[in-house]
Amino acid sequence: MTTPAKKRLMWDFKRLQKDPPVGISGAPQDNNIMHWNALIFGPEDTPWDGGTFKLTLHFTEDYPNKPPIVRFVSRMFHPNIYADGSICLDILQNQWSPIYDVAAVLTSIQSLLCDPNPDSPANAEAARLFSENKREYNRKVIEIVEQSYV
Amino acid sequence: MASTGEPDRKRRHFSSISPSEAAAAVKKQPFFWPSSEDKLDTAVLQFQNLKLSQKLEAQQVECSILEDKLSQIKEKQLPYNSSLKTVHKSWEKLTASVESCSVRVSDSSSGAHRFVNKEDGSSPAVKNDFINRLLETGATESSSSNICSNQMEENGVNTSSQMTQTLYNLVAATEDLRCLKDELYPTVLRTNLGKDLCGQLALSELESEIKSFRGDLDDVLVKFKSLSRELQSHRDADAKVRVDLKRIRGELEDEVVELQQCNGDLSALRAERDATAGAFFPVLSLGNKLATSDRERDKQRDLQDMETVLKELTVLASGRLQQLKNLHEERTKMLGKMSNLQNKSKSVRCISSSQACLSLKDQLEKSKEAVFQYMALLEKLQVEKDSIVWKEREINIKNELGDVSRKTSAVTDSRMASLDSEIQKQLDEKMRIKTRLGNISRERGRKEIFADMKALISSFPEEMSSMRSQLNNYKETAGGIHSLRADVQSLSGVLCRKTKEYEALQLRSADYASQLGDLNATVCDLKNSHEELKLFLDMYKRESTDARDIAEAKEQEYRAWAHVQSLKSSLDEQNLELRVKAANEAEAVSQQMLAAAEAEIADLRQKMDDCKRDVAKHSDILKSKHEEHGTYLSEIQTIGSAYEDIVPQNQQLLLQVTERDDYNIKLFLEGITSRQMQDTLLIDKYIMDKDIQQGSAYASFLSKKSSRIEDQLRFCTDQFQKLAEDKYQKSVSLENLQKKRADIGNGLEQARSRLEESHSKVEQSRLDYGALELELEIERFNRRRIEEEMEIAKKKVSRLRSLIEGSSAIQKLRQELSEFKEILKCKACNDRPKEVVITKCYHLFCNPCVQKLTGTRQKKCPTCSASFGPNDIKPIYI
Repeated sequence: MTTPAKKRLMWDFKRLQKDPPVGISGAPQDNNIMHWNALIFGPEDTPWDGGTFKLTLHFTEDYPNKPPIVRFVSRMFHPNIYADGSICLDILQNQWSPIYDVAAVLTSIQSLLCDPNPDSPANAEAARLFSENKREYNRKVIEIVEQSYV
Repeated sequence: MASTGEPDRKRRHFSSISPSEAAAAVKKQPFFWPSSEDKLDTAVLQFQNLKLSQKLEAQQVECSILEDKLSQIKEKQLPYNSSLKTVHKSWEKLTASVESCSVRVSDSSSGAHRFVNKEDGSSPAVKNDFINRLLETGATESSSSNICSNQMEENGVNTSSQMTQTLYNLVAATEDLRCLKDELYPTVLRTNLGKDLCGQLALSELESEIKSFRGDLDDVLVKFKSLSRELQSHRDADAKVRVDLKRIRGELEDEVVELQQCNGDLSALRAERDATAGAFFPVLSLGNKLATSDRERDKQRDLQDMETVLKELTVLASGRLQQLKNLHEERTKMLGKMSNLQNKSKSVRCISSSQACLSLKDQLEKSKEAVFQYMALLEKLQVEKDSIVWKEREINIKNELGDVSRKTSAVTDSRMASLDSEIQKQLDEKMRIKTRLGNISRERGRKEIFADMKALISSFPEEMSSMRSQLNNYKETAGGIHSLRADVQSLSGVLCRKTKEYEALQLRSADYASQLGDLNATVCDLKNSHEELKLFLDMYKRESTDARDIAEAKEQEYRAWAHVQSLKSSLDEQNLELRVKAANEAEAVSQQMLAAAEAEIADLRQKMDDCKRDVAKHSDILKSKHEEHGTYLSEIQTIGSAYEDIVPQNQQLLLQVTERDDYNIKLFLEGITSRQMQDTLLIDKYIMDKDIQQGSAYASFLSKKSSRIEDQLRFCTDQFQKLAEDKYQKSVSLENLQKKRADIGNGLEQARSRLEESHSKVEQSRLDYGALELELEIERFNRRRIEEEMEIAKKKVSRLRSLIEGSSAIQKLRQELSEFKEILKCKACNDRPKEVVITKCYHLFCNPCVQKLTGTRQKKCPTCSASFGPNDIKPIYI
C-alpha cells in the first residue's frame, strides 16, 4: 500500500540515488521505507574530516508535513547533539518545511557538524569547550572521529 | 820533462821494490815521441801505436805494482795496529788514572791531598810528553810507508779524539766535583765546627792545594786543546790528500780507458791496413797513396785528432803529476810529524817502562784506592747528609703532623664531648625505648596471664564492692537497729515520764478528790446553811413586821450580805468544784490517755519485743555476716598473699620474657643469617635445580633422542624387514618381471609388427587428416563469409531500428517534458501537480499540501517560510 509519505520517500530515495550530495549516503532499511539508515562523512578541512557517522531516520505517515526523527548511532561530541544521539536542529523541529527532503536534512546535519550553535547547547561540555577551549574541543572531536572508524 | 822525472825518482827513493826496467823504458820513450811527430807514414803511426800500447802496459804494470805495494803496506801495518792498541790501552789507563786523580783532588782529606798534589803536578807534563812521544813514535814507525803513516795518523787522530773526549769528560767530572765540593764544603764546615782549629788549618791548606791543582788542570786543558786543534788540522790535511789521491786514481782510470779505446782504434786501423796492404807490403805506401788517398787523409785526420787528444792527455798528466808531487811533499811533511809523534810515544813508552813510571803507577793505583775510599766516604757522608735532611724533614713533618694531630685531637675532643652527650642522649633514649620495649614485651609476652590477672584483679573490686554494698546494707540495718534501740530507750523514757506524770496526776487527782470531798462537804454545809437561812428568812418574814422587819431586814440584809459573802466564797468553792470537775474530766482524760498510753506502752512493748527479737535476729545475722566478713577478709588476705606471691612470679616471668625476647632476637638474627643462608642455598638450589632441569631436560632430550633413535632403529629394522620382504617380493616380482619381460619381448615383437601396421594406418590417417584439414579450411572460409553477411545484416537492422525509433530530438524533447513535469509537480509532496498559489510570495503548491499547511498554527510558505493567511491562497490553472 502506497501512501503519500511512502511515495514521497521513494521519490527522495530516487533523488538521493541519482544526485547524491558530497559526503552523504542514505538508504531505507530492509523492507521498510519508513526507517532509513544514513552515513555522513566529516566535512573536509575540518576536525571532522575523515569521520564516518551513522544515523537513523524514522519517518511518520505525516511526512513531509512533519519532520523525521533523526538520531546519531555513532558516539558524538557536538554542542547540539545529545548524549543519546538526538539532534537539536531547528529544521528538524519548528523550522521544518515540507520541501525538505532526506538529502536536504542530511546536508544540513553535515553542515551543523562544523557550524554548531552553542546558544542552544545539547552537550554542555562540548558547548563550553567550543566557546572557551577550541583546541581541546578539536582534540575531542578528532578522538570521536578516530572512534568512528571502528 | 822535469815534472815527470821527479816523481819517478821519488818513487824509486821511497819504494824498496823498484819498478821494472820495462816500465823505465816506457817512461823514457815519451821523450822521443814528439820528434817523430812530422812523419805521417803509417809506419810511424804504427810505431806510435806500439809505443802507446807499451805505455799503457807499463802503466798497468805500474798500477799492479802499486796495488801490491799497498797490500804489503797493509800487512806491515797489522803489527803496528797491535802496538797502537797497546798504546791506546796505556793511554786509557793513564786517562783513568788522571780522572781518578782529579776525583781524588776534589776530595777534602788533607793527608792524601798533598800526595795527590805532588802527583798531579807531575801529571800534566807527563801527559804532554807522552802525547808528543806518541806522535813522534807514530811518525818514526810510519816513516817506512806512506799509507801506514796515514793510518797511524788516523789512529793518532782517533786516539787524540778519544783523549780529548776523555779530557772533556775529565773536565766535566772535575767541574761536577768542584760543584760537589762547593756544596759539600759548607756541610763539611758545619760538621767540622765542633772539631779543632787544626782541621780548619788543614782545610785551608787543602783549599790552596786544590786551587793550585786546578790551575795545573787548566794548563793541561789548554795544552790538550791546542794539541786537539793541531790534530784536527792534520786530520783535515790528510782528508784533503786522500781526496786528491782518489781523484787522481779516477783520472788515471779514465786515461787507461782512453788508451784502451786508442788501442781499439789502432787495432781497427791495423786491420784495415792489413786488409788494404795484403801481401804486398813493401809497395804498400805508393799503392795506398794512389788508391786510397782519401782513406789516408781520413786516417791522417784521425791521427791528428788522436795526437791532439794525446797532447791534451799529456798536459793533463803533467798537471796531475805536479799535483801528485805536491801531495807527496805534504805527505812527507806529515810523515815527518808522524815520526816525531812516534818518537814521542816511544819516549813515553820508555818512561812508562822506567822505574819512576812504575812507582808512579803504583802511586796512582794507591791514589786510586785512596780516591775510591774517599769516594766511599763522600758517598757515606752524602748518604748521612741525605738521611739527616730526611730526618729533619721527617721531624718537621712529624711536628706538623703533631700540630695537626693536636688540632684534630682538640676537634675530636670537642666532637667526643658532643658525641658523649649524644651517646648519653642515645642511652637515655635507649633506656626509654628499653622500658617501652619491656612494657610492650610484658604486654605482648604474657598478655594472657595479664588478662587473667586483670580479670582476677578486676573481679576483686567487684566482689569487694558487692561485699561493701552488703556491709553497707548490714550497717544500714545495724543503724536501723540502733535507731530502734534509741526509739525504745526514748519510748521507755517517755514511759517513765508518763508513769511519773501519772503518779503526779494520781497524786493531784487524789488531792483533787480530797478537795472535791471538802468542797462537797462545804456544798452540803452551804446547802444546809441555805436551807436554814431560808428557814430563818421565813421566820424573819413571819416575825418581822415593819420596824422590826426593817431592822430584821437590815439584819437580814447584813446577813444576806454576809451570806453573799459566804456565797461568794462558796462560789469560789463552786469554781473549785468546776475545777475539780475539770480535774475529774482531765483525770478521765488522763486516765483515758493513760489507758491509751498503757495500750501504747503495751504496743511499744510488743514492738520492743519485736524489735528485740529483730535485734537479736539482726545481731545473729550481723554476727554471721561478721563471720562472713572475717572469712572474706581472710580470703582477701589470702588472695593478697597469693597476689604478692604472683607478683615475684610475674617478675620472674617478665625476666623470662625478656630472656626469651633476647633469645628471640638471637633466634631472629640467626633466622636472618639462616634466611640469608637459606637464600643463598635457595639460589644454589635454584641454580642446582636449573642445572638439574637442564640436566633433566638434556636427559629427557637424550632419552627422547635415544627413543627417537630407537624408533628410528625400529623403523630402520622395520624398514629393513620391509626391505627384506620387498627384496623378496622384488626378487619374486623380478622373476615375474623377467617372465613378463620374456612375454613382453614376445609381445613386443607382436607389437612391432602391429606398430608397423599402425604406421601404415597412421600414414593413411595422415592422408585422411590432410583431406579433413582441407575441408575445415573450406568450412572456415564459409563461416567467415557468413559472419560478414551477418554483420552487414546487423548494420542493416540497426539502420532500420534507428529509422524506426526516430531521431535524438525526440529523446531530448522527452527529457524536457519530464523536467517540465517535474517543475509542475508540487515541491512539498512531489506527487501532485501545482494547483494553488500563495499570493504573498507567489510560490506554487498543490491544494492538499496548502490545505494541510493552513490547518497548522504557523502558516508559512514551505519554500520561503513567509507567513500567509487563508485569503492569500488562490487557485491557478496551468
